[in-house]
Amino acid sequence: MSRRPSKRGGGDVNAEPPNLIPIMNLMTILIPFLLLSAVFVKIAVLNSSLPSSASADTLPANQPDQAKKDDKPRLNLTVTITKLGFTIAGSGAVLPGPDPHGPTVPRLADGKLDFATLTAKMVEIKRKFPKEKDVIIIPALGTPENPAPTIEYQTIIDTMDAVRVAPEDVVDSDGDGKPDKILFPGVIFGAGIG
Amino acid sequence: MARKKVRKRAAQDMELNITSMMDMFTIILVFLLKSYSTDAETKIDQSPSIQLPTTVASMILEENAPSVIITKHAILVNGSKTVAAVKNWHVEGLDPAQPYLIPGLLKALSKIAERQKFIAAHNPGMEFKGLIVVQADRHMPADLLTKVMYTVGQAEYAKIKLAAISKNE
Repeated sequence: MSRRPSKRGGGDVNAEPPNLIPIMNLMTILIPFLLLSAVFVKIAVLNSSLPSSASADTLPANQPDQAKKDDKPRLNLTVTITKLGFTIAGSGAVLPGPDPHGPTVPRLADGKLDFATLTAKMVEIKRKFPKEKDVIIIPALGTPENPAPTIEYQTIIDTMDAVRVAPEDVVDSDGDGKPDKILFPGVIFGAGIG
Repeated sequence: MARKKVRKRAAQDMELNITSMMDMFTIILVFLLKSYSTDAETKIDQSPSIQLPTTVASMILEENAPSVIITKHAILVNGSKTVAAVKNWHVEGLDPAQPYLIPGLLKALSKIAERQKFIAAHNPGMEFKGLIVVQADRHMPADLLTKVMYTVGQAEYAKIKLAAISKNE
Protein backbone atom coordinates (compact mmCIF):
# COMPACT_ATOMS: atom_id res chain seq x y z
CA MET A 1 0.00 0.00 0.00
CA SER A 2 1.34 3.39 -1.02
CA ARG A 3 2.07 6.07 1.46
CA ARG A 4 -0.17 9.04 1.83
CA PRO A 5 1.29 12.14 0.13
CA SER A 6 3.15 14.42 2.42
CA LYS A 7 1.16 17.34 3.62
CA ARG A 8 4.17 19.58 3.99
CA GLY A 9 5.65 20.19 0.54
CA GLY A 10 2.79 19.38 -1.87
CA GLY A 11 0.86 22.59 -1.50
CA ASP A 12 1.55 24.08 -4.96
CA VAL A 13 1.30 21.04 -7.23
CA ASN A 14 -1.25 22.50 -9.64
CA ALA A 15 -0.45 26.11 -9.05
CA GLU A 16 1.39 26.83 -12.34
CA PRO A 17 0.70 25.32 -15.80
CA PRO A 18 3.79 24.24 -17.79
CA ASN A 19 5.26 26.94 -19.96
CA LEU A 20 4.37 25.89 -23.49
CA ILE A 21 5.78 28.94 -25.29
CA PRO A 22 9.15 27.35 -26.21
CA ILE A 23 7.37 24.29 -27.61
CA MET A 24 5.11 26.57 -29.62
CA ASN A 25 8.19 28.30 -31.01
CA LEU A 26 9.65 24.97 -32.00
CA MET A 27 6.42 23.92 -33.71
CA THR A 28 6.10 27.13 -35.71
CA ILE A 29 9.62 26.65 -37.00
CA LEU A 30 9.23 22.93 -37.72
CA ILE A 31 5.91 23.16 -39.56
CA PRO A 32 7.00 25.56 -42.34
CA PHE A 33 10.20 23.56 -42.73
CA LEU A 34 8.37 20.26 -43.12
CA LEU A 35 5.76 21.82 -45.40
CA LEU A 36 8.53 23.00 -47.70
CA SER A 37 10.23 19.63 -47.86
CA ALA A 38 7.05 17.57 -48.11
CA VAL A 39 6.67 15.61 -51.34
CA PHE A 40 3.10 15.38 -52.48
CA VAL A 41 3.68 14.19 -56.06
CA LYS A 42 6.05 11.31 -56.47
CA ILE A 43 7.80 11.22 -59.81
CA ALA A 44 8.99 7.84 -60.98
CA VAL A 45 11.17 6.99 -63.94
CA LEU A 46 10.78 4.22 -66.50
CA ASN A 47 13.91 2.88 -68.10
CA SER A 48 14.20 2.54 -71.80
CA SER A 49 17.13 1.97 -74.05
CA LEU A 50 17.78 2.54 -77.70
CA PRO A 51 17.89 -0.21 -80.30
CA SER A 52 21.18 1.09 -81.68
CA SER A 53 24.62 -0.45 -81.41
CA ALA A 54 25.46 2.31 -78.97
CA SER A 55 23.73 0.35 -76.22
CA ALA A 56 26.30 -2.44 -76.59
CA ASP A 57 29.01 -0.08 -75.33
CA THR A 58 27.02 0.88 -72.31
CA LEU A 59 26.33 -2.69 -71.19
CA PRO A 60 27.87 -3.35 -67.80
CA ALA A 61 31.23 -5.07 -68.09
CA ASN A 62 30.38 -7.51 -65.30
CA GLN A 63 28.03 -9.52 -67.49
CA PRO A 64 30.16 -12.29 -68.96
CA ASP A 65 27.06 -14.23 -69.94
CA GLN A 66 26.05 -11.47 -72.30
CA ALA A 67 28.23 -12.84 -75.10
CA LYS A 68 27.01 -16.36 -74.43
CA LYS A 69 23.45 -15.22 -74.59
CA ASP A 70 24.02 -13.64 -77.97
CA ASP A 71 24.93 -17.03 -79.51
CA LYS A 72 21.44 -18.33 -78.88
CA PRO A 73 18.67 -17.19 -81.14
CA ARG A 74 16.96 -14.40 -79.31
CA LEU A 75 13.26 -14.01 -79.01
CA ASN A 76 13.14 -10.41 -80.28
CA LEU A 77 9.75 -9.95 -78.74
CA THR A 78 7.96 -6.98 -80.22
CA VAL A 79 4.70 -5.32 -79.33
CA THR A 80 3.29 -3.07 -82.02
CA ILE A 81 0.58 -0.58 -81.12
CA THR A 82 -1.70 -0.05 -84.10
CA LYS A 83 -5.14 1.37 -84.65
CA LEU A 84 -6.52 -2.18 -84.40
CA GLY A 85 -4.80 -3.15 -81.17
CA PHE A 86 -1.58 -4.82 -80.08
CA THR A 87 0.31 -7.17 -82.36
CA ILE A 88 2.78 -9.40 -80.53
CA ALA A 89 5.57 -10.96 -82.56
CA GLY A 90 8.75 -12.90 -81.90
CA SER A 91 11.61 -13.96 -84.15
CA GLY A 92 9.93 -14.72 -87.44
CA ALA A 93 6.42 -15.32 -86.18
CA VAL A 94 3.40 -13.31 -85.18
CA LEU A 95 1.26 -14.48 -82.30
CA PRO A 96 -2.23 -14.96 -83.71
CA GLY A 97 -5.17 -13.37 -82.02
CA PRO A 98 -8.86 -14.30 -82.01
CA ASP A 99 -9.03 -13.31 -85.68
CA PRO A 100 -6.10 -14.88 -87.59
CA HIS A 101 -5.74 -11.81 -89.79
CA GLY A 102 -6.25 -9.26 -87.04
CA PRO A 103 -4.02 -8.12 -84.21
CA THR A 104 -3.03 -10.41 -81.33
CA VAL A 105 -4.91 -8.32 -78.79
CA PRO A 106 -7.71 -6.38 -80.47
CA ARG A 107 -9.06 -3.19 -79.03
CA LEU A 108 -12.00 -3.40 -76.68
CA ALA A 109 -15.50 -2.70 -77.92
CA ASP A 110 -15.27 0.95 -76.82
CA GLY A 111 -12.07 1.48 -78.81
CA LYS A 112 -9.70 1.40 -75.83
CA LEU A 113 -6.57 -0.70 -75.87
CA ASP A 114 -6.84 -3.95 -73.91
CA PHE A 115 -3.91 -3.69 -71.50
CA ALA A 116 -5.15 -6.52 -69.24
CA THR A 117 -5.13 -9.06 -72.07
CA LEU A 118 -1.73 -7.78 -73.22
CA THR A 119 -0.34 -8.44 -69.74
CA ALA A 120 -1.93 -11.92 -69.75
CA LYS A 121 -0.26 -12.72 -73.10
CA MET A 122 3.05 -11.40 -71.77
CA VAL A 123 2.74 -13.67 -68.72
CA GLU A 124 2.23 -16.64 -71.07
CA ILE A 125 5.32 -15.70 -73.09
CA LYS A 126 7.39 -15.12 -69.96
CA ARG A 127 6.50 -18.60 -68.70
CA LYS A 128 7.81 -20.11 -71.93
CA PHE A 129 10.90 -17.88 -72.16
CA PRO A 130 11.85 -17.16 -68.53
CA LYS A 131 15.30 -15.82 -69.47
CA GLU A 132 14.04 -13.14 -71.83
CA LYS A 133 14.11 -9.65 -70.43
CA ASP A 134 13.71 -7.39 -73.42
CA VAL A 135 10.72 -6.26 -75.39
CA ILE A 136 10.55 -3.86 -78.31
CA ILE A 137 7.60 -1.50 -78.35
CA ILE A 138 6.71 -0.05 -81.72
CA PRO A 139 4.08 2.66 -81.98
CA ALA A 140 2.77 2.40 -85.53
CA LEU A 141 3.27 5.77 -87.17
CA GLY A 142 1.84 4.90 -90.56
CA THR A 143 3.27 6.18 -93.80
CA PRO A 144 3.47 9.88 -94.65
CA GLU A 145 0.65 9.39 -97.16
CA ASN A 146 -1.47 7.33 -94.84
CA PRO A 147 -0.66 8.27 -91.25
CA ALA A 148 -1.91 6.07 -88.45
CA PRO A 149 -4.02 7.66 -85.73
CA THR A 150 -1.89 9.45 -83.17
CA ILE A 151 -0.70 7.35 -80.26
CA GLU A 152 -0.29 9.47 -77.17
CA TYR A 153 2.65 9.31 -74.82
CA GLN A 154 0.33 8.15 -72.03
CA THR A 155 -0.59 5.10 -74.14
CA ILE A 156 3.08 4.23 -74.54
CA ILE A 157 3.68 4.52 -70.80
CA ASP A 158 0.61 2.35 -70.13
CA THR A 159 1.91 -0.24 -72.60
CA MET A 160 5.30 -0.20 -70.88
CA ASP A 161 3.58 -0.75 -67.54
CA ALA A 162 1.59 -3.63 -69.05
CA VAL A 163 4.69 -5.45 -70.34
CA ARG A 164 7.01 -4.67 -67.43
CA VAL A 165 5.24 -6.15 -64.45
CA ALA A 166 2.50 -8.69 -63.92
CA PRO A 167 -0.16 -8.49 -61.22
CA GLU A 168 0.84 -11.92 -59.86
CA ASP A 169 4.07 -13.90 -59.49
CA VAL A 170 5.18 -15.48 -62.75
CA VAL A 171 8.67 -17.01 -62.82
CA ASP A 172 11.96 -16.50 -61.08
CA SER A 173 13.76 -13.97 -63.24
CA ASP A 174 16.24 -12.43 -60.83
CA GLY A 175 17.70 -15.74 -59.67
CA ASP A 176 16.76 -15.63 -56.01
CA GLY A 177 14.82 -18.87 -56.19
CA LYS A 178 11.44 -17.23 -55.77
CA PRO A 179 9.03 -16.34 -58.55
CA ASP A 180 8.44 -12.65 -59.00
CA LYS A 181 6.22 -10.29 -60.91
CA ILE A 182 8.83 -9.06 -63.37
CA LEU A 183 7.99 -9.68 -67.03
CA PHE A 184 10.09 -7.76 -69.54
CA PRO A 185 11.74 -4.77 -67.87
CA GLY A 186 14.10 -3.97 -70.75
CA VAL A 187 11.93 -1.85 -72.97
CA ILE A 188 13.42 -0.80 -76.28
CA PHE A 189 11.77 1.67 -78.59
CA GLY A 190 11.43 1.18 -82.27
CA ALA A 191 9.83 3.31 -84.92
CA GLY A 192 7.48 1.44 -87.13
CA ILE A 193 5.60 1.90 -90.33
CA GLY A 194 2.33 0.11 -90.52
CA MET B 1 -10.77 45.64 -1.16
CA ALA B 2 -13.47 43.37 -2.53
CA ARG B 3 -13.68 45.29 -5.83
CA LYS B 4 -9.94 44.97 -6.36
CA LYS B 5 -10.13 41.21 -5.99
CA VAL B 6 -12.81 40.91 -8.67
CA ARG B 7 -10.75 42.88 -11.18
CA LYS B 8 -7.75 40.67 -10.56
CA ARG B 9 -9.75 37.51 -11.31
CA ALA B 10 -10.98 39.00 -14.62
CA ALA B 11 -7.40 39.65 -15.69
CA GLN B 12 -6.53 36.03 -14.94
CA ASP B 13 -9.41 34.71 -17.03
CA MET B 14 -8.09 36.57 -20.08
CA GLU B 15 -5.12 34.22 -20.29
CA LEU B 16 -4.93 32.40 -23.64
CA ASN B 17 -5.45 28.68 -23.54
CA ILE B 18 -3.00 27.25 -26.02
CA THR B 19 -3.52 23.59 -25.22
CA SER B 20 -5.92 22.98 -28.12
CA MET B 21 -3.61 24.82 -30.47
CA MET B 22 -0.80 22.58 -29.29
CA ASP B 23 -2.93 19.54 -30.02
CA MET B 24 -3.51 20.77 -33.57
CA PHE B 25 0.15 21.51 -34.10
CA THR B 26 1.14 18.08 -32.87
CA ILE B 27 -1.21 16.43 -35.35
CA ILE B 28 0.08 18.57 -38.23
CA LEU B 29 3.63 17.85 -37.19
CA VAL B 30 3.08 14.09 -37.17
CA PHE B 31 1.36 14.22 -40.57
CA LEU B 32 4.16 16.25 -42.13
CA LEU B 33 6.83 14.05 -40.61
CA LYS B 34 5.05 11.08 -42.16
CA SER B 35 5.16 12.60 -45.63
CA TYR B 36 8.73 13.75 -45.16
CA SER B 37 11.19 11.62 -47.02
CA THR B 38 14.90 11.79 -47.41
CA ASP B 39 14.80 10.06 -50.80
CA ALA B 40 16.42 11.62 -53.78
CA GLU B 41 13.18 12.07 -55.63
CA THR B 42 13.52 15.82 -55.70
CA LYS B 43 16.17 15.40 -58.37
CA ILE B 44 13.42 15.77 -60.93
CA ASP B 45 11.82 19.18 -60.90
CA GLN B 46 8.50 19.00 -62.57
CA SER B 47 8.00 21.59 -65.22
CA PRO B 48 4.77 23.55 -64.68
CA SER B 49 3.88 23.64 -68.36
CA ILE B 50 3.52 19.89 -68.84
CA GLN B 51 1.27 17.19 -67.46
CA LEU B 52 3.37 14.11 -66.94
CA PRO B 53 1.79 10.74 -67.69
CA THR B 54 0.88 8.43 -64.84
CA THR B 55 2.45 5.05 -64.22
CA VAL B 56 2.36 2.17 -61.79
CA ALA B 57 6.14 2.09 -61.66
CA SER B 58 7.81 3.38 -58.53
CA MET B 59 11.46 3.45 -59.48
CA ILE B 60 13.06 6.76 -58.68
CA LEU B 61 15.97 8.53 -60.29
CA GLU B 62 19.12 7.74 -58.37
CA GLU B 63 21.65 9.89 -60.13
CA ASN B 64 21.71 13.34 -61.55
CA ALA B 65 21.22 13.44 -65.28
CA PRO B 66 20.53 16.10 -67.86
CA SER B 67 16.89 16.46 -68.75
CA VAL B 68 14.95 17.03 -71.93
CA ILE B 69 11.52 18.61 -71.45
CA ILE B 70 8.98 18.43 -74.25
CA THR B 71 6.08 20.84 -73.97
CA LYS B 72 3.41 21.88 -76.43
CA HIS B 73 5.48 24.82 -77.57
CA ALA B 74 9.13 23.96 -77.18
CA ILE B 75 11.80 21.42 -76.39
CA LEU B 76 13.99 22.46 -73.49
CA VAL B 77 17.26 21.12 -72.19
CA ASN B 78 17.94 21.17 -68.45
CA GLY B 79 14.77 23.06 -67.76
CA SER B 80 15.70 26.42 -69.16
CA LYS B 81 17.32 26.42 -72.57
CA THR B 82 14.90 26.24 -75.51
CA VAL B 83 16.51 24.25 -78.28
CA ALA B 84 13.60 23.78 -80.68
CA ALA B 85 10.19 25.27 -81.23
CA VAL B 86 7.17 22.98 -81.40
CA LYS B 87 3.89 23.79 -83.08
CA ASN B 88 0.92 21.41 -83.02
CA TRP B 89 3.32 18.74 -81.81
CA HIS B 90 5.51 19.22 -84.88
CA VAL B 91 9.08 20.35 -84.43
CA GLU B 92 9.96 23.37 -86.53
CA GLY B 93 13.15 23.64 -88.53
CA LEU B 94 13.72 19.97 -89.35
CA ASP B 95 15.90 18.92 -92.22
CA PRO B 96 13.72 17.00 -94.76
CA ALA B 97 16.67 14.69 -95.49
CA GLN B 98 16.82 13.65 -91.82
CA PRO B 99 13.24 13.86 -90.57
CA TYR B 100 14.05 12.22 -87.23
CA LEU B 101 16.93 14.47 -86.21
CA ILE B 102 16.22 17.62 -84.20
CA PRO B 103 19.35 19.71 -84.88
CA GLY B 104 19.02 22.16 -81.98
CA LEU B 105 18.54 19.34 -79.46
CA LEU B 106 21.49 17.40 -80.84
CA LYS B 107 23.74 20.46 -80.61
CA ALA B 108 22.77 21.23 -77.02
CA LEU B 109 23.07 17.61 -75.86
CA SER B 110 26.39 17.05 -77.62
CA LYS B 111 27.76 20.03 -75.76
CA ILE B 112 26.58 18.64 -72.42
CA ALA B 113 27.89 15.16 -73.29
CA GLU B 114 31.25 16.63 -74.20
CA ARG B 115 31.44 18.43 -70.89
CA GLN B 116 30.39 15.30 -68.97
CA LYS B 117 33.04 13.27 -70.75
CA PHE B 118 35.66 15.91 -70.03
CA ILE B 119 34.78 15.71 -66.34
CA ALA B 120 34.77 11.90 -66.52
CA ALA B 121 38.27 11.91 -68.02
CA HIS B 122 39.61 13.84 -65.05
CA ASN B 123 37.45 12.42 -62.29
CA PRO B 124 36.90 8.65 -62.25
CA GLY B 125 34.00 9.12 -59.84
CA MET B 126 31.97 10.97 -62.43
CA GLU B 127 31.69 8.31 -65.10
CA PHE B 128 29.75 9.15 -68.26
CA LYS B 129 26.87 6.68 -68.33
CA GLY B 130 24.69 8.21 -70.99
CA LEU B 131 21.80 8.76 -68.61
CA ILE B 132 19.13 11.23 -69.62
CA VAL B 133 15.70 12.10 -68.25
CA VAL B 134 12.87 12.78 -70.66
CA GLN B 135 9.87 14.67 -69.33
CA ALA B 136 7.03 14.95 -71.79
CA ASP B 137 3.40 15.90 -71.75
CA ARG B 138 1.01 12.96 -71.65
CA HIS B 139 -0.68 14.09 -74.86
CA MET B 140 2.50 14.11 -76.91
CA PRO B 141 2.23 11.90 -79.99
CA ALA B 142 4.52 8.88 -80.24
CA ASP B 143 6.01 10.30 -83.40
CA LEU B 144 7.64 13.19 -81.52
CA LEU B 145 8.94 10.81 -78.84
CA THR B 146 10.59 8.73 -81.56
CA LYS B 147 12.29 11.85 -82.95
CA VAL B 148 13.51 12.95 -79.53
CA MET B 149 14.78 9.45 -78.70
CA TYR B 150 16.60 9.20 -82.01
CA THR B 151 18.27 12.58 -81.48
CA VAL B 152 19.16 11.75 -77.89
CA GLY B 153 20.76 8.54 -79.15
CA GLN B 154 22.79 10.46 -81.70
CA ALA B 155 24.18 12.54 -78.84
CA GLU B 156 25.38 9.26 -77.22
CA TYR B 157 22.75 9.13 -74.53
CA ALA B 158 21.48 5.54 -74.59
CA LYS B 159 19.86 5.11 -71.17
CA ILE B 160 16.67 7.06 -71.36
CA LYS B 161 14.58 7.56 -68.27
CA LEU B 162 10.99 8.56 -68.91
CA ALA B 163 9.58 10.57 -66.04
CA ALA B 164 6.02 9.90 -64.94
CA ILE B 165 3.87 10.49 -61.89
CA SER B 166 3.76 7.39 -59.75
CA LYS B 167 0.30 6.17 -58.80
CA ASN B 168 1.81 3.89 -56.17
CA GLU B 169 2.15 5.05 -52.62
